[in-house]
Amino acid sequence: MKLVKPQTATNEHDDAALSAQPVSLHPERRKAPRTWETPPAPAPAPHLDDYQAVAGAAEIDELRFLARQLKGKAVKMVNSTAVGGGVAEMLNRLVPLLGEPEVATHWDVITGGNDFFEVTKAFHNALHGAEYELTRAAQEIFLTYTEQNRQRMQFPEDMVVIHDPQPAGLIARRKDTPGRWVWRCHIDLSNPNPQVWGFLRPFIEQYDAAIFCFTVLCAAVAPTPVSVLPVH
Amino acid sequence: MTTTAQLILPRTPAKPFYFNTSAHLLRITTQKANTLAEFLAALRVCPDDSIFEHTFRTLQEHHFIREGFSNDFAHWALTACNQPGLAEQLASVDVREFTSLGELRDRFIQILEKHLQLNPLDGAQIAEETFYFCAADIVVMPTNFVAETMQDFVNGLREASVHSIHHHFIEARLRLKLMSNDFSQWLHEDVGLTDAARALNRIDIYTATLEDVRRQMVRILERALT
Repeated sequence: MKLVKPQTATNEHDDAALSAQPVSLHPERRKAPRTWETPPAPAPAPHLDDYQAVAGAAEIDELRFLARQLKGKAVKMVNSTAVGGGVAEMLNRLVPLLGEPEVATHWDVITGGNDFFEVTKAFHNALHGAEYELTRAAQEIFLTYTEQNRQRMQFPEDMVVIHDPQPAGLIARRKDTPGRWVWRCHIDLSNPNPQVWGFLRPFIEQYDAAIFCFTVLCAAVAPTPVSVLPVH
Repeated sequence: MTTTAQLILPRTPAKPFYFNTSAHLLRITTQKANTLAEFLAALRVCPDDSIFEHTFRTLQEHHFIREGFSNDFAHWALTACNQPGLAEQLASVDVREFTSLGELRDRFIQILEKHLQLNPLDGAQIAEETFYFCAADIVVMPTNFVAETMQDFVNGLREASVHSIHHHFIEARLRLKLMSNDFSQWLHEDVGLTDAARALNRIDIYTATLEDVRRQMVRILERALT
């Protein structure tokens, strides 16, 4: 029986080639890019030992020793977004790394509408020194979503670490929780807009401690104990 | 005919050397200064921890710099106050000459007082950046390196972290209240290598990174053991 060639312009085979090789019935479909039916597997979780070549084996051992003091403790990290931002990138690595020496670390993200994120974005710029008129409406939006998140979230951990200003208002739950609260600030507060800082400061001052990247970035914060993680 | 054989003495230490290390959490204290006059006032009352942080500890943080840095006070005087002469005097203070923070603080106060006596208007000039007096909470930790032989010790020197080198070589001066360091003390008291101990103590920490210091120590010891 003679094999029938599919009638396509792109499928030019002579008979000899045809008998030797199977021919695709729908060659044009094969040229289209494949679509993924399932998302690609996430990157494997990092391990402390992965950093040996960069940080040094002795430094990794030091970290492990320090972490032993926190073994069995639980930490909660809270920030404003799970993806797309320096803090999210950082926590993506830090949370699994802390799990390795058995420091149970939970990561929670605040929720809010576009209006909330527009307001907090404006706050962010204002804290960096941009001009901004803090309206009553902006304050209400911030406080409303803060309250919603406060009611939704639980804080049974030994330590709660709040990252940056967006979730800073969650501190109002502190009195109902057993742990210490730390504010981790990743932004530059050396020249904050006075209105916005004046609005946020009463929240920050309730924290047990605050952590900054450089001393010059934390001019505005006192009397909360302030620590600095020098970035080399 | 006799020949003088080269002696390779087995150097068995009287007791082992335990390599420790330390971690530091930097705190900002309540003292800060925007002028040289405020700086002098704060220098008089800041805690000893602060003096330690801005002189000894800062060498660890900036250990990778070979020139142009010696302590935070000198750095601020130069970069924020635009006072190169004062900065040079503050930079000339060698922490290795001191065995107490009180004495170290007094030296800095002396330098500043003299400068402000000669240049009274400098006291009120606003600096480009505020100086925040910091201090550190220190946690001392053991490491995996214990030297029961000289070879162990040399290996430990090669493998220990720079934090460990700083802990034993620089911070130790305050603990021991002597113008020495843990490594030299052990070499002198427990191994009998006094010349090597002195040679280690003479290594210049201001023109060498801590990695340079490590390499020099290993070289000195390898020479001493052959």
